Amino acid sequence: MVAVMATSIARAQYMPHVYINPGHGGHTSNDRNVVIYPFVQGDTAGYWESNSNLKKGFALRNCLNLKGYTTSISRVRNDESDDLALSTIVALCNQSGADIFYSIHSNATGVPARRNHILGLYRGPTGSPVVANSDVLTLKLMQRLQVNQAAVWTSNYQIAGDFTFYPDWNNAGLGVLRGNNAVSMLSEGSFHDYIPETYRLMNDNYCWMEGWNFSLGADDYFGYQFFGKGCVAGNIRDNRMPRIINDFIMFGDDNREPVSNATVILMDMNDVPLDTCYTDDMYNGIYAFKMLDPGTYKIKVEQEHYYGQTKEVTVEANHSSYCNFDLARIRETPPEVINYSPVWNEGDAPLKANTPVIFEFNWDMNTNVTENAFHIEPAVEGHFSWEDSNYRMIFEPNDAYDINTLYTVTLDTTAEHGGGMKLQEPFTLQFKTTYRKYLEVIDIFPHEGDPVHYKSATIELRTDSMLNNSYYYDKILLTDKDGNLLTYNRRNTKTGKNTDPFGFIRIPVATNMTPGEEYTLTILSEMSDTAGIHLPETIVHKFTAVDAGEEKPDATVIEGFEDASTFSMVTATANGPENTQLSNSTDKLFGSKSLQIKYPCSPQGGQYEFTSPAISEATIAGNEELSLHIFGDMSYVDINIMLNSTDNTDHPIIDFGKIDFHGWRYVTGNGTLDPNKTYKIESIFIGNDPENPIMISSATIKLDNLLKSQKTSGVYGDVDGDGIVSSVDITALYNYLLNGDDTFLSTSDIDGDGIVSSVDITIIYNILLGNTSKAPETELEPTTNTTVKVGPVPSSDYIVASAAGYIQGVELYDLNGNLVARNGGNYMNVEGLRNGHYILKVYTGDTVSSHHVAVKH
Amino acid sequence: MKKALLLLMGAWALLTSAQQVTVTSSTTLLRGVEDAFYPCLNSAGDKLLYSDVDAHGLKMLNLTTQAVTIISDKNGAGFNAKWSSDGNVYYVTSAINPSDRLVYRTGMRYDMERKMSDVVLEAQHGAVHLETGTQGMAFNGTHRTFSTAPNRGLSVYTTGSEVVLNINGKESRYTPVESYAGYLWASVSPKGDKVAFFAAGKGIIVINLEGKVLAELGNYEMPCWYNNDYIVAQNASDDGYQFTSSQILLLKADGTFHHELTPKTSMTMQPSCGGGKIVYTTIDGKLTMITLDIKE
Repeated sequence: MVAVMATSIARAQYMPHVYINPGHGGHTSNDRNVVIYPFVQGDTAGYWESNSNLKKGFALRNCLNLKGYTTSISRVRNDESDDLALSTIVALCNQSGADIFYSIHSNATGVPARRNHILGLYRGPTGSPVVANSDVLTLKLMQRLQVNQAAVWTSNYQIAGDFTFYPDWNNAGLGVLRGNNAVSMLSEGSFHDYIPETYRLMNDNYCWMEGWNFSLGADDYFGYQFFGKGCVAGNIRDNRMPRIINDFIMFGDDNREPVSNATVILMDMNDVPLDTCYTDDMYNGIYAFKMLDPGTYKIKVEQEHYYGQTKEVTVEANHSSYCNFDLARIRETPPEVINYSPVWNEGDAPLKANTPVIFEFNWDMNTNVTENAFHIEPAVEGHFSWEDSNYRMIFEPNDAYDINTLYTVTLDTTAEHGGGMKLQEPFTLQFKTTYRKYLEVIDIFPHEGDPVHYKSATIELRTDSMLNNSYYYDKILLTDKDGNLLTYNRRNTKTGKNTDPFGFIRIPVATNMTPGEEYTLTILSEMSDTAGIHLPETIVHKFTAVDAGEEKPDATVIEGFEDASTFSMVTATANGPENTQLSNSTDKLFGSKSLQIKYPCSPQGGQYEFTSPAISEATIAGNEELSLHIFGDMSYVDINIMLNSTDNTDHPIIDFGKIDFHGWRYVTGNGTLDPNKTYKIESIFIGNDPENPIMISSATIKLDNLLKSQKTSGVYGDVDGDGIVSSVDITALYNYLLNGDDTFLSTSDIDGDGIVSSVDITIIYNILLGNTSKAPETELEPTTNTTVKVGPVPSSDYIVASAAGYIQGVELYDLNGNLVARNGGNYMNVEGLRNGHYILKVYTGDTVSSHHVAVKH
Repeated sequence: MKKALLLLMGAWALLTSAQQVTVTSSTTLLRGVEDAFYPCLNSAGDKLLYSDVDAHGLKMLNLTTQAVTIISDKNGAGFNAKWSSDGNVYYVTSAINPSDRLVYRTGMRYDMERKMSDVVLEAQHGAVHLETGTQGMAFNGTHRTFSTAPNRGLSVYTTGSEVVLNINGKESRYTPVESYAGYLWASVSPKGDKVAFFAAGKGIIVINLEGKVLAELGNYEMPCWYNNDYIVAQNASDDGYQFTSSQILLLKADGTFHHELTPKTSMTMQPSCGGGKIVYTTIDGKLTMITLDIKE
């Protein structure tokens, strides 16, 4: 360092007294620790705001004292006892007779976002400082700090009154400014959680420069220009090598590697060395020469791995000069591929269809040129990324490779490293892909348009293979209508095991939703299985939160499911009686309990039917409908209610559908009742269909209030029964037509012609377009399908259809829409079919009607 | 010896646990309407000085009549206003000189009989310390001083890391404990045999008139003598930017007992004692006066 004496200082009559408050202290809970390599959390040698604040404070004190100011400082150590209370600092400042007060801090966002700028705060509302001139003092300092070009600023400085800046503090303001009689301010000199800045704040010279700039701010405030010394500092970086610090955000030149352990020599214009300093090994590249006489100097930088560089710099009195260096690395040998992936030879197992191609080089490469030297046959659209400061190139296909295909990758000799030397020989590798391309989704809850109980919701993704259990929370996003993320109960998340026939993740939602509002489940295409095979595309499901326990004032409660001991088995298949368990649960919607049913899902299919005195005694009129509150577990078991007309001629099944949902849901059963008959409930049926894949080995569902009510005509075109006609109703129709999804079968035949067809979709489109808000009343009248009778249900041998006219034939479909059997007569022999539920289509003349039937042996 | 020590410790525990403190009255002052800070009771406990949150201006509340008198509207007047033994009020105001932007401080006296303030120490740059004694007071400025009498009886003030004690005109300076940042809030006990002050980084220290440490009461602030045996203080914490808790404590001057007069969450602060009363304010300026019953 150039030694200087303050002999030329022309003092004012009274020199100011400055009170310096290096903020925080003590490495305690009200200090700020940022963990950076190589330090661990809590290591006092690592980054703490109290450390850098104190370094700045010392530098400021020394600079001011050299200029002739008098100073007080609130701490000179960094232990807990030195961390003075705010009111103590204010009282000490006032007692000291200070003219100005600097509280030295650095900032943090407190959120994942990163930025780096300067903030100056004074007491009072913005523009109206409580102590006059505090805003002027703040401005003078901010202007001096902003000139720091060794930092990377994301925006210009900000100045505010603390009442305005902290509106929630009710004008209490910053504690060190409250009651402070000096012209006072608090500086947040930079953002210490912006990691490149964190490393800079570890550098003594960098902190010193901020302290020096503080002193220049004081000079400017008092109008002093007499000191006659200047300083020069700068940042030394690699001219092209990218800086990688985990996933930290970096801006501008901070994206290049700082050069550590460089020797920086200050010379006069005749190359005579005057001073030498060094960049440290704290990944910041900072150097500084302090207290220089004004003039022009040369600064020479040397580092063993870089070509040296010399620059001229002009130093002005009472100013900070900055001179940054971008050094070129010394690269004396040509680039080589020293490692690569995949390593595949003929006869090896084929590779997954999204395997990246990775090259590792002996030098950091020229990325653009090297990417152009990359070729893959057959051609594949893909993208490149670089790691390890451009030593590693990664090619990933935008989409999966073709299956069962041999690929050849070539890196030609135009590839070059950062020094411009080229690859000596082309490099080639080959690999063959496997048969599997994408992760296949079996099911997702909520489905598009689902009503989901607002409380304690659960979301689930089921796939054809085991999911990668790492990092899935950032790939499964649940957001409200404003895009805010809902939080998950991560501790109770369930995931698939190797023994499961499919992969799944089941996540309880911790945040209660708002009934009536729309939510969005987004599963990103990056979601992958254990082999890294990902989804073909991002999946977005919109659904609506509802209150499944909403009171139904027009309905009568038949059974409240409060006492499990009142239920008795009616019939069961072999797997049912021994293993099905009924018990009460306190997870309920009404009363104090619900009925919990644990049902083992046999691969051979099965069923369990039960009743209670309240259920047996209830009567259902033909113009009534039944509704159940069901707590689903996505087990895909069927819930039905078996009815028998009091004249024993009609045995309709009220179908509550498959349990393809989680949580509570209010479900109205589908089934055709004769309006002229009265019915009794024979049983509640739970069963699983062997034709369907067994989703989970054991179902646990809950039931609450079984209701009966007058059947409502509903809204014309409202297939899903949510009270509105929307695109969801069209989707439901498509699902039925294409996939046989019969969830809304009973409401899908909108035109009442006895068949579900494109005509019904057209009607909904017209309603959505406003062409038909309400269909003619006559179209709501039952037509031919109500004249067709089907029975018995369930049946063990024949199901027979009868109608007023000629029946051309019948077709039996499973619940997935697959044709199981066809007969040209009015009956279907089901003796050879498995137990379960089916759809019987009855063709009469030019109409078709669909009927839910069951086979039970 | 060990057994004797245990017995002694047991007796100590009985002694400390035997003390019982009851708040016998609690009164909201200024009807809770006006925000008030930096309260300062006179020794009789019938008059109270107070200021605004930034110590701008100075007012006096007559606790008997509830009448409020405006003493000053100047900056800094409320920060360290004191009652003098003659019943008048002394305080320091500060102002920025536009020509050099330095802060100049002026010593002021409010004459209770004439009901007006006078300049007793002309404005000067630098610190001005106010010293009140049993027989007078003084302003000790960086460049000039003022005193009501050469012999101010027993008086005390702090400057830097020194307690300055004046006994009948003889000044003694003590640094009984290390504190780089400095001392604050020195006061003499009612019987004149002890001095309490605050040492930054140490807390409240009680010394005798020879500067010998009698007790260290803990890292609390703003001590004031409730009576000759008890001190009231502030216990505040912060996150480096704003207060996170603050309460009023009653401390026995020998360090054997402390009692929370208000909870930590009350954000009560800046206690002042006089005439057997305690006045404190809150973070948002609500003044409260309490009285105590201490059973030994």
